[in-house]
Amino acid sequence: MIAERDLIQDLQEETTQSQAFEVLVNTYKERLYWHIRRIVLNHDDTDDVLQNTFIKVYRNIQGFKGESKLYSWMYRIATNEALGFLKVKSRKLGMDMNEMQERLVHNLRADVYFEGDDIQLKLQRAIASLPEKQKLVFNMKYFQELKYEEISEILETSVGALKASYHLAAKKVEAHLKAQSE
Amino acid sequence: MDEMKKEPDFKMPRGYLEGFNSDLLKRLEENQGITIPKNDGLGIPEGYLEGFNERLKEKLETQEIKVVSLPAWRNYFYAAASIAAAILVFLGINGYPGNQFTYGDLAQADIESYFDDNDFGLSSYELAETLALEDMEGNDILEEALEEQNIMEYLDDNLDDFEELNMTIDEDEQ
Repeated sequence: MIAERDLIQDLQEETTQSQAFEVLVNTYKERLYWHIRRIVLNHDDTDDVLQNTFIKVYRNIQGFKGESKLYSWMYRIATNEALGFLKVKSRKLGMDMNEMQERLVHNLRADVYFEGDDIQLKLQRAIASLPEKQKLVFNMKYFQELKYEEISEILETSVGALKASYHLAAKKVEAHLKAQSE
Repeated sequence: MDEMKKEPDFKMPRGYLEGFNSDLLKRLEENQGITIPKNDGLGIPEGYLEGFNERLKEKLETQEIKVVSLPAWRNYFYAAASIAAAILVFLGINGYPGNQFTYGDLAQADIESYFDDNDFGLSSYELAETLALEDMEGNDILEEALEEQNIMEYLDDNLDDFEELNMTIDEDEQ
């Protein structure tokens, strides 16, 4: 596997840029897809946001100083793109973010790319009820199994605060699932 | 001693011990609480990731524009001008056919709604870093002009010691 420093150098060099970008996309497209998908929930919206994320990375790689790791920089761009996308969408629909989240979960029932049953729907409803930051932390830790140190670099939050956020989020999801199953 | 061996006076339901093990296991499972499923039910179309690079390349090529390096503040200036132009074109097409428009015709509400409906990817910190505030007057950012009388009324209501304020001003002018 190509070292990150070499990859960045190749991305910033005109002659090697296009090949290095291909490597970058191949390395991160799946991980970023699932990261974005768990925020916007719908596949087509995820596709849009993922493409925009890579386009932003491509256009801004010259200015990347390497002060953070490449993957955390890309995750940050993906997170901002996905949250920004939802914000614009909710404004266009005249909804606040809570109503928007409910609508996204409601739409899953008819989504051809949602393969879950009642339990998964309840799970999505429980996750949607979390505050934004807790939702991000929960998804990144529970489903993507990122380390606290990695999440800390992406969300620019201390590991201690992340642990507290995750613990609270997991308790809320459990309580939500329990309440729905009674 | 014989009295100690006496059978206890308590009785247990017939068959109680036979069902004890399964009842205990059931109780243990209930007390373990809810397990959060590891599968979140989200699926991905077959072959989507394999075809992604090609679609991304096409999108990049269609969006490819010649980039000319400009000082940062000019980017925002041009962005603002193009947004204003876009709103004028939008109004011309949709709202007021046949009329000629100038920048002065843009209502504050039109500009605000354009910013609300579009994502420019600029955070308030990025704007704050770029906008030069030295040349701005207080009235530039207020919806209603601040009259001298309003200022005097505010000071009258909120300042304890008028004299102290006057002294400072005098000192600065000297």
